Amino acid sequence: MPESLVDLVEALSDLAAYRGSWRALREETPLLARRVEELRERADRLDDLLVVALVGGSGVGKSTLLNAVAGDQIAETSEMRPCTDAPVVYHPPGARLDFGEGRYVARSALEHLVLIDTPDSDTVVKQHREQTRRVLDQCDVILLCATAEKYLDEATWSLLRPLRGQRTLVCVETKAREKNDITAHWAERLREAGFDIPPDLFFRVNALHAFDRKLAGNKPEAAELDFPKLEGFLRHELTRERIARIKRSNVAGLLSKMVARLHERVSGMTPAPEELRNMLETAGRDLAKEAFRCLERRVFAEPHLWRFAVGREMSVRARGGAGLLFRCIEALRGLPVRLPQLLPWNPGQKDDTHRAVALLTEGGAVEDDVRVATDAVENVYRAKQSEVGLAFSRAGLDPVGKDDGLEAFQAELARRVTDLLRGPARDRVVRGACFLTSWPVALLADLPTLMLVVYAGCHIFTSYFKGVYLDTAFFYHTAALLALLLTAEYVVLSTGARWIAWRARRAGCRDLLQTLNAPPGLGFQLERALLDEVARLRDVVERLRRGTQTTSN
Amino acid sequence: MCDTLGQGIDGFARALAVFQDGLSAIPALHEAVFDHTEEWVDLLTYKLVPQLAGEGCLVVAVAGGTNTGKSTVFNMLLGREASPVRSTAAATCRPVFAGNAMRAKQAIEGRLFPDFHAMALEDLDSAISRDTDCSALFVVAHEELPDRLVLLDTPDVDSIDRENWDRADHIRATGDVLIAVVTAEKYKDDRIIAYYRAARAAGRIVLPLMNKANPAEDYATARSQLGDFCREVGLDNPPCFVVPHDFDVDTRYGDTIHSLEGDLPLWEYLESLDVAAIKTHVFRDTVSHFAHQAEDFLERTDQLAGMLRSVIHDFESRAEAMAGTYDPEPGTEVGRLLHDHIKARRGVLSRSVGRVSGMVAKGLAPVRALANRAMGRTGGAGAARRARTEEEIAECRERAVATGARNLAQGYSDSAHALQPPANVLVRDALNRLDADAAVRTVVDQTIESEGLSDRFRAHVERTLEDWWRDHAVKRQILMELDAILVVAPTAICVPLSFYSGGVGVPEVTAVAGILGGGFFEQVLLHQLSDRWLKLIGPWRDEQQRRFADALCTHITAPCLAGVHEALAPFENDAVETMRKSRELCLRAL
Repeated sequence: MPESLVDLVEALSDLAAYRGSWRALREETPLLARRVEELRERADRLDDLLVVALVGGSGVGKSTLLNAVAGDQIAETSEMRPCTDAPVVYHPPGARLDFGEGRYVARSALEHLVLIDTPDSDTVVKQHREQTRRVLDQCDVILLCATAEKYLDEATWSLLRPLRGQRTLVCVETKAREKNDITAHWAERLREAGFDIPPDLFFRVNALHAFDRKLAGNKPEAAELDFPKLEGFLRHELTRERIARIKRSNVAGLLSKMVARLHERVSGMTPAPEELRNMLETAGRDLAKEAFRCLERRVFAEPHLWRFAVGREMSVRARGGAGLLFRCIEALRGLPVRLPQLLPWNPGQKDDTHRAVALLTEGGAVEDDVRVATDAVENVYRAKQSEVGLAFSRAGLDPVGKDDGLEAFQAELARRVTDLLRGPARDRVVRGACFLTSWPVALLADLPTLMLVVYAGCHIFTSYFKGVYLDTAFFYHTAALLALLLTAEYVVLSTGARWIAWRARRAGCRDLLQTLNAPPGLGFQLERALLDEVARLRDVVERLRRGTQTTSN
Repeated sequence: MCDTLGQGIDGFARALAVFQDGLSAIPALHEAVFDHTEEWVDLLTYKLVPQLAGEGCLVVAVAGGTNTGKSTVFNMLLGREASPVRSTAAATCRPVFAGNAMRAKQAIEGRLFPDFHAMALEDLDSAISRDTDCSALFVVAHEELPDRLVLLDTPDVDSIDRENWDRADHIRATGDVLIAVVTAEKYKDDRIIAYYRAARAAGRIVLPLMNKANPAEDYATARSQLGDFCREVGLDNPPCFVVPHDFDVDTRYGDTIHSLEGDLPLWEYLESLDVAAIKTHVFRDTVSHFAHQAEDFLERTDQLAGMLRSVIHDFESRAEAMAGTYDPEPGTEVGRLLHDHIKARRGVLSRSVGRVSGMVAKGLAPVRALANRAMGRTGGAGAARRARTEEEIAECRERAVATGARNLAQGYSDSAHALQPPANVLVRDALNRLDADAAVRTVVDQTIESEGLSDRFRAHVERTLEDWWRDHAVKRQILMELDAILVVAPTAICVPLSFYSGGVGVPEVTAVAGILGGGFFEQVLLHQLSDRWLKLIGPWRDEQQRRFADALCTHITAPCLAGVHEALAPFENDAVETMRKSRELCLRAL
């Protein structure tokens, strides 16, 4: 079995195992599975015997033809219709065959050939037709027998039509006489029906005559017409190479027909997968827009939360006197927010915004299930999903679980927002806090107070040595000045923190928009996966089609 | 008898034509309804209806499989080559008619076979040309034929040219006597046997004729083969005829055809047939056969109509169910209504104060908005739970409606392929034609457009509130007092304070606080009360759902079912009923 053929059959059997959501393909799989089975069987038997089935209407002389070829009364013949009621298999000795119920005669002198005489295809005995159909499924060559009365019978033709291109057809007019040649008319009608049979595969024989002559042991006579030619064809022309060629072409015919059918089924899809993909992209973008609008109005719209986050970061790192002061005030300011969380009897205070703040301030220290998709976003998601679902359903794809999709979407949205808050947003807050609490800034902030302290210290010291007694007003004033300076420092630091929070929030909004729009689009992961699957399968079918084209060439 | 029967058959034929006409636009359904009815419809069209015209003559049709020699037998009966004979199969593809001059004239005028397009056969080849008009009937005048006998040569019933089958079936319906031409190869073919069995069931007289029979041993083989054939078809020992196999196309057509026993020429047998008796016999059998078949047909028609109706019912009930899941948020309408209700019951003082402060509130609207914003911003985590705005609620509602409509359409589309044929095709076609976006938009517009409170609903709420007002004295008192306090208190505080402060600072603050307090009260009513008193919303919701259901039915369900409705139309007019009545009339007449 050639390499390329194995690959093609394997690819087909993969398709046959498809149980996914694509209705058009799924409907094809039972037939496909049967065909793959048949292909495998046929491919395995490429070097085997050639199975030739004698097929035709009742009384055309199939059995007589078999007897004439064998030169012996192998199959029963009679004037009454129908006569043969089970296949007669005439095969070389030693061959192991299984064509179901029938008579097996193991004395054929035709080395590579199994001749099967089938029951009729057209009488009132319906099971004969079934038996014939079974033999036809397994045979390689059809020896189509007919007479002037039966060569256009629908009953026989309806059996042949599905096998067009998959079996080699040899036409034999069995009760031919010198005049009334039907060959031309027969060939023309066959050609009209799509069977292209070369003229050298048409035989006009008089089988009864030939059989009688053979029994008598005489030489061939003119009244047998083409019988010696037909015998020669069966005995000598069907060499091993030709048999292999016939079998290969049968397999190729079956394969290309199957693939062509498959291709036809899967290529017609409205709306097209590309349109569906575009639709998903648009839906994802709309969803991102809506989610952004919603989040921007909530977590990202609360300046005080950002300010709180920056304050927390700064108070952890605060340095110097001003830092100390800032830390104390921050601790007091944060009390209303932190206290409910610290109280053991009030654990339920953590709502979404709180969690977001916790993310911003504590990094990964909170549980992961931050549910950020609010009702509004859910509502939008459902609307978009119904749009997508309708289009998918029209395209013949089974609906995806609606709630699964929603859950996946929520999880993804939460992941993206969490990553943003935990990552860049938090980094920005921390960077700003670090800057405000860095040594130079702290020093700069503490400088006036320090100078005042140094000045006051110097003044007290020199006055002491000079013996000048400082009055209380000096201390009052210094203290007042110190308080004033500290307040000013706090105001400066706090303003800095506010400024950083404002910048971080703005940058956060920008990042949010970016992360929501980042590929792959937001939501509809299941639908996307489905489309990918469809694209992959279409690719496979397309490849198969090209493969069969090259094989048949 | 004949009058009633005539009426019955005529009525049936007319109703059937109307029915068929109605269905012809829908090929899938037409096929489902008229599958396997060709036989008796042919009987009706080609036999029963023309029969009533009263041109009584015995129609002898030569029928059989391809290349069995039908035309040869036909020619032998006439004694000349009247119908073309070829050695190839399926040669005759248009029927050939032979009768004496008068009958030929009648035939050409279309009085004998009104549904065929009769024409004189001028060129023998036109009967075997596949290009001639499908309904053509070629007429040959043959003087030696008696008035009461006409002959028909027919196309085959078993070759790959299926159009020949139809014509053969028409001929079978037309003929009274069928000469069944069989051969040694063809006497037991399924198609052939089925053809004659149907002819037999419809009361035709079938005369088996074995062509190309082997004369050896006094036709022993042909005898047993013909016996086999008669058994299969269900013939009870009819006269059988043979033509020996040495007869060939080139032979003269002068030979007579003899019966198997050799004593009865076919021609004489045909001439001896009692036209009147056969006609009556055939007619009676035909009518009862027809009536029997028509019963099955009507039953199937009912089943199909029932199936289509159940599809319609199912789809409509799904639209209702979808509308039932629609749960619109009431917005602030109901709360506002309640507030109005309380306002209308204010005391004299609070009413006048309320009016003034209402005017002030209007002027202070920007301040109030600013204050609300500030409250929202400084509210910390609570801001996240801020009540949704009117626009957001409306948008949400709109989306819910659109989602519902689309989900319904998707449900239809998903279930379309699981429906029984031909409903699945009809629904799928309609779905493909449906412009889903436009339909959904219309549904949304129609549902949302008049979403405000209807008068009926307003009256209902008024009534409910009235009841509530009467039954809940305490709650009423609290509400009234709260309202009064919030309306009057700022003014009450404002007046003495401004007296002390000389009208600077404090009174303004108090006034603004009062207005904010009023806003708060309103909000409480709008959002809390309207949610809690579902009883109030019930009818409003029902009304919304009703409107949604109507919109869905008109714009989604109806277009999806357009095909089904269209298909059902022929079943719903009285054609079927007429057919039923006509059939009963026929039965009674028999």
